[in-house]
Amino acid sequence: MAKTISKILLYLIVILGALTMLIPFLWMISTSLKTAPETIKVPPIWIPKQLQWGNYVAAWHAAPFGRYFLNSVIVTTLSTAGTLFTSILAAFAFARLKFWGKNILFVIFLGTMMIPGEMLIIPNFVTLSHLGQIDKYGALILPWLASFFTVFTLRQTFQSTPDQIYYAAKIDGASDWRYLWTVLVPMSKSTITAVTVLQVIGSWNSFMWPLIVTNSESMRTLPVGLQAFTTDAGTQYQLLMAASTFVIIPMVILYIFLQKYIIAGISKAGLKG
Amino acid sequence: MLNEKPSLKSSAKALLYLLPMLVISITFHIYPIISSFAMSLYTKYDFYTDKVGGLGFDNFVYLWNDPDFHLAVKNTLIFVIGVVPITVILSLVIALLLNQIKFLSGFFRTIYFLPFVTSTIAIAMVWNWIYHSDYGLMNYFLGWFGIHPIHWLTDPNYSLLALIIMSIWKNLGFNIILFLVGINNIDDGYYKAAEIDGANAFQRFWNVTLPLLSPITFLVSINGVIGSFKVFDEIFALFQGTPGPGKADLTIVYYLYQKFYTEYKYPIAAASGVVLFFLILLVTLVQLWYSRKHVHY
Amino acid sequence: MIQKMKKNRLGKVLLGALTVSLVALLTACGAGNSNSSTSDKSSGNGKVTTITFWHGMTGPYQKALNEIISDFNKSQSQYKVVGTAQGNYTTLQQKIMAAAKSKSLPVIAQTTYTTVPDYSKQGFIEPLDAYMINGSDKLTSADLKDIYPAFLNSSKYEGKYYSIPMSKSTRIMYYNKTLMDKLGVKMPTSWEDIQKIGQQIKSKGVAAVGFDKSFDMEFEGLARQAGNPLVSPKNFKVNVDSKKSLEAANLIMDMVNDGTAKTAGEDIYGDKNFTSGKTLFYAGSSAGITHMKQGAPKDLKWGTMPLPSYKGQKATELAGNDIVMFKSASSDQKKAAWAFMKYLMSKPVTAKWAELTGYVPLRKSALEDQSFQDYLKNDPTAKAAVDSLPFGFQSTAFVGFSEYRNDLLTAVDAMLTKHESTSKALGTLQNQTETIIKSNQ
Repeated sequence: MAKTISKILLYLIVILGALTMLIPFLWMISTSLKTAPETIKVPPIWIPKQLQWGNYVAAWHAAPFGRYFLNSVIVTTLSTAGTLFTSILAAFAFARLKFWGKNILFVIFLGTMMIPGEMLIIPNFVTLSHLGQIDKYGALILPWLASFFTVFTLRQTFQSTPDQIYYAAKIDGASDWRYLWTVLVPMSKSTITAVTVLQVIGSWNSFMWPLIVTNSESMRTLPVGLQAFTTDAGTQYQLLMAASTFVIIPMVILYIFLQKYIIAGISKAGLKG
Repeated sequence: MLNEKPSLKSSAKALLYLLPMLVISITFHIYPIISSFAMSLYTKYDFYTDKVGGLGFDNFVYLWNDPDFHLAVKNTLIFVIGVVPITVILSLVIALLLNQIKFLSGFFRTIYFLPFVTSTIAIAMVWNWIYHSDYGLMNYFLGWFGIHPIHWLTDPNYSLLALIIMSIWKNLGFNIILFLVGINNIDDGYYKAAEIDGANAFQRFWNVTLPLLSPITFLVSINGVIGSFKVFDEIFALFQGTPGPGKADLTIVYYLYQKFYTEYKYPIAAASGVVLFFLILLVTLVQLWYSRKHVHY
Repeated sequence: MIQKMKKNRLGKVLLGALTVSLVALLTACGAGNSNSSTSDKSSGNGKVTTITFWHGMTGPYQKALNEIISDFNKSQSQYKVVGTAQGNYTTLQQKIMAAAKSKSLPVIAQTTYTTVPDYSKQGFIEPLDAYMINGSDKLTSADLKDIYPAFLNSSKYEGKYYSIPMSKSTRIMYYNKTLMDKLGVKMPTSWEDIQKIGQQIKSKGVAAVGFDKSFDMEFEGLARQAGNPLVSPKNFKVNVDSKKSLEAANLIMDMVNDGTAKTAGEDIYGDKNFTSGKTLFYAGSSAGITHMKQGAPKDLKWGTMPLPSYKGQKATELAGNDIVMFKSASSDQKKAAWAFMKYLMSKPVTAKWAELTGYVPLRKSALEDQSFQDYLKNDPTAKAAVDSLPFGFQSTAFVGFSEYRNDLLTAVDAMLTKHESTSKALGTLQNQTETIIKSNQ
């Protein structure tokens, strides 16, 4: 009996919390289906008189979103793949390899997280300008091939794996490289999926940087396209929300597919062997 | 093998592993940080021709005397203290709850993640509505408890709280994911062993879950602190390009932004960045020292 | 375990291939070529000179600008303008800053005229006198008389012209005809009338006039009407807390405090209060007309008129953006840029720009243009802005203006949210402004 009550309570709390998480998202969708006067009506309405599906069509045509989508996919895929590669290597070094200055280096890199991005925009713009990468994919991707947050997260997981497995592999004659890619990485699927998701979203939603380093419409990414709806005269909220929705949907779909890997946990195979 | 000391050979090998990240990080993080720090010591500086006319600590003296900077530091500290502990605890609790749910678990996990995926602009727009003094959801709910409408966005006494609540809400999804990873990386074997030893649910949580979760908790706390100290985007979006009513939401990064991009006082902006860095470093070092004893790998 | 490791060689190879293709893609691909005009400093005879134009126009404004640019390109074969949208004005300024630092500025850019003193001090904009007043393609004296004086004056800094006006709007008064008829209110012609109306309709729960979140532009207008600008254009004398300015501020704050005026607060713009009937009138930007058209409910009859007089004087603040030319461009590019700038200021083009966007035309003769006349006939709400031009003014620009503007907004905010007295808030602002001007002498 007590178990049922606690289960009901559990679900109640989770549902309540889910509602608070959901409300803004629902508001976004609701606004995307309104007419312009309905968006500034006071007090606000939830359900528009007529669902304005045309807003989505209008929003899509307001800017070259097809091209933006392609660019977002290219930039996000490459920077995430690159970051995973550099971070897995670096995290392994911090977790398992012995070298001079390990702790100091760790703190130095931790320090790089302590600088606000706003301070780095102009120096990095200048660097990329000198490399001739402005308005090219290089500017959009290069600075984002390393993320110390990802290194930090992976290192926590790598360090938490049982030492026996590592030593057993070394005794078997495996090199660190082999161990990393054939044992550790498969074991850490959960964490790697999680950081992949976080990286993808960060890259996908990035607005300021792509705007600053690109000039041509053909190089811009999705969030930049959202600018089209705010003018001197004010913002067309219904179109902005429609466009925001199709920027978000791919991320939601991605998350739905990947989230079961996140909670998969450490692969048990390692412990038995 | 267990107690090998680092050698030239092992350090060289580690360097190879670190090299890809090092190259990117030095070019795009460390180099600009060093040049920004250097800029904080310039007393006469032409930003565009890079001509330095004088060196000194004048910029830091300016910050020391500027009441706006004091306000920014105060607001930032209040924000960090308001956001981080609640975020860590709340996201841990929610992750634990989500882990217990079997029915529609994937559905709920997706919903809790939605705020993190949604763009800041959309979120700010929604919270602008939630916080509206006349018809906002917040005041509507408070009305049930007989509380008078609060001017969340235009009263300097409440605007910081409004920001804190929105920030906690927005970043929950991110931290919940990290905790979910941490919880699921704990091998079942430990729990079985504890059950055999006769531990109840709370004891299992306190003696197995929490300690084995400590690496992730540590990550969430450090990342939370660093991120909170740097808060800017959310303020800019929620208060539409102003630092809140009566500058009540002026934070160090907002101050930096104004000095750099609006007032063209580049060395002073750089100096404020330096102060921010050392503040965060201080708090982080305290956390690191604490972690030596309490984080178990 | 070793067997497992052997099987995963494929994974390593794939990863390696990905990295290589990554590097290849990055450095090779991109659109860099089409905008190389900044570094292309040569243009021999018969070749087309391409110039880059960075602007902050979005949505329908961007479409209108693209149309005008393509008109220009089609009208002649020597010059080609390539327009690039850089987000809004804030992001445009950041972009200009980054480009200035990396020496990759475009040829011309849109900018708020108040940045001109700072840009001039930092040494990257070109004075225009050589083109505008003295060059072979100069503006005639008839041209100069035709362009509204407020625009010409604000384009001048330290005696030289540094910018040309481009996208300008004025403050205007929106009125709610439906509500006026319902409350039996006659059209006001002065702020004094509005004060009276305020008292008249107070009991009905309606405020006479609504402002945007900050009333600084109306404050400056009223101060001028009372007798002094906030900062004098001739000698940069600061009059922020003079007796006349305090009168202006008190007029507004007294109305706010007794409920006969409302600021937009968290709504940022006063249109929400206006369309929901909370205010009878609304002092806002003429650029907001499009927005008002889209957002007002069908049963609300509204119109626009110039801001009312005060103490028998009329003065309306003009806001908006200009175009500046960068020093780093080549002389051929600068010639091309001036041709385009002159084109923008010509009668048919400025009329067309005004019709497409709702910004005001830059010259008086544009009003006589037939299509513009038809435009006004079809859309009477556009008339108020145009009628305000003869007594329009632009806030005095000086080095450090953006810092001053931040302080001004803070002062207004302090009066509204911290309930500081006008004399205290404006006294602080007076000191801050004097410091800014002195430190930049």
